[in-house]
Amino acid sequence: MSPCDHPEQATRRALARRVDPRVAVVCVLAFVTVQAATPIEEWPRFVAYAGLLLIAVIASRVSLVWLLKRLALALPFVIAVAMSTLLVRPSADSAVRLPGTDLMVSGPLLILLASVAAKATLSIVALSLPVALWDFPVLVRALQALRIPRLFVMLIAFMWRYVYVLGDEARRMVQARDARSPRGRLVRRVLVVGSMAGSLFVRGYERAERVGQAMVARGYDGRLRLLVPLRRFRAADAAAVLVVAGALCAMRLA
Amino acid sequence: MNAIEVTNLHYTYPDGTHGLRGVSLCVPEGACLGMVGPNGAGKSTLLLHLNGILNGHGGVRVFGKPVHEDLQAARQIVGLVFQNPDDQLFMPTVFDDVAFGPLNLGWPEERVREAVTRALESVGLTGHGDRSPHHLSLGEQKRASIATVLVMDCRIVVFDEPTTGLDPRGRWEFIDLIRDLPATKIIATHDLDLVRELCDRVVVMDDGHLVAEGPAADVLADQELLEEHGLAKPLDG
Repeated sequence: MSPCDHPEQATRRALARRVDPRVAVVCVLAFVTVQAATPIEEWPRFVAYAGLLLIAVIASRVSLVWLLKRLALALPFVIAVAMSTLLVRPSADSAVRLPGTDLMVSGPLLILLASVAAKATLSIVALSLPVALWDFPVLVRALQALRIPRLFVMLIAFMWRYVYVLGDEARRMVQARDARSPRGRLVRRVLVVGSMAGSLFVRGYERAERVGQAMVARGYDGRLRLLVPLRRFRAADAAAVLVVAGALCAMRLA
Repeated sequence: MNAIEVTNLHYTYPDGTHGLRGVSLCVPEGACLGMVGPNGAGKSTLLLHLNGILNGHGGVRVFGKPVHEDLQAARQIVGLVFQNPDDQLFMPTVFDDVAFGPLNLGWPEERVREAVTRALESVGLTGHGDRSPHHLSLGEQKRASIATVLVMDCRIVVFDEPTTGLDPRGRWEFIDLIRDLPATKIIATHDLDLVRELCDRVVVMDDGHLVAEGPAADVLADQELLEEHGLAKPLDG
């Protein structure tokens, strides 16, 4: 899973040492917010955002294959909007011809599709960069240092730990389903997924209770403490944030 | 001196299920007590009372002091190792998990780092601190779980089904690891071979009651008692 299982790992580690993780988190969150708030009709701005992101990707030396795998996360949303675009019959005044085909689709839905695809792609690539460069506890510590609400930080920390555990449980449930319905009809198999999701929720809830007991048993008092030292925030770090903020303002307002 | 004293302990779950029905128990310091019984006998419920996670009616004393008088102190003395390492290991890395308890106790950073290094070394996981618990084998996860308790210098270590899911080699390695722990040990298990190997005394629980107590050799040799409470006699016992 790690993007750092690569010959360029040392370069990335060196970059991670030079850049304060708090700077990266602030810049990435600012980037995601600004581009998400830009109407897709102002598409030249998205070209500029993509250019800025490309510079960051090249500087970080993150593997493109690894980034493309992360982009698969956006697919369900893009597919859902694409299906709506294709299936909804457009009204006469909003119909546009799909380039290269005779298919008429709704213009507003086509714009929505472009918006979802562009914003999801830029957001996921941007959010992936800190994950690629720093160990996860460092990012959690950076979020704490930035005074992100405690509950939110804990949700992120636990999600990182338990997404794999729940994924394994889901996989075992799918295997159990397949073992008992090897030639079941697709509709029937899809319906079973609903009850599996419910079962997974109940198991997750029960696990949360046991994890809570394990935390309390070791003195947990509501504060998540990590032994990850952050260096002093320097003038150069503040300057880096200002440069990125300035670039984003220029791209958004120019 | 008794490490643990439980007096007439009752506990009822919020749904009305009786977990414990008047359990009394003494565990001398330095002893290794086996706790056996069928599923639903109340073993895990009793263990959760020993460092104040559950609070039933009756008395629970740790080295003479009521548990709920000073929960923080009790939790430093009594370490719980849960059955499933996925419940015990909840932090992003093994190091963070082992450091979790000492940081909650307010230890200074240098002491925490030294204690974590020592604890990982004592369970044979030196150099695994940066790994995610998810990437450890089950045997390594179980050993990391013990490290999370050892690191706090617990004088009493309580295990809930410690050998579940381990292969035979991993199981015997784990039994050796438990044997070498310098602490009072309480082990709830269905693994009667483990009990015979490690425990000097055994209590049998069933339906929230403590139904028998005695030297391990005597209890494990009582075929009638074991059959009555759904426990098999060791094959070569």
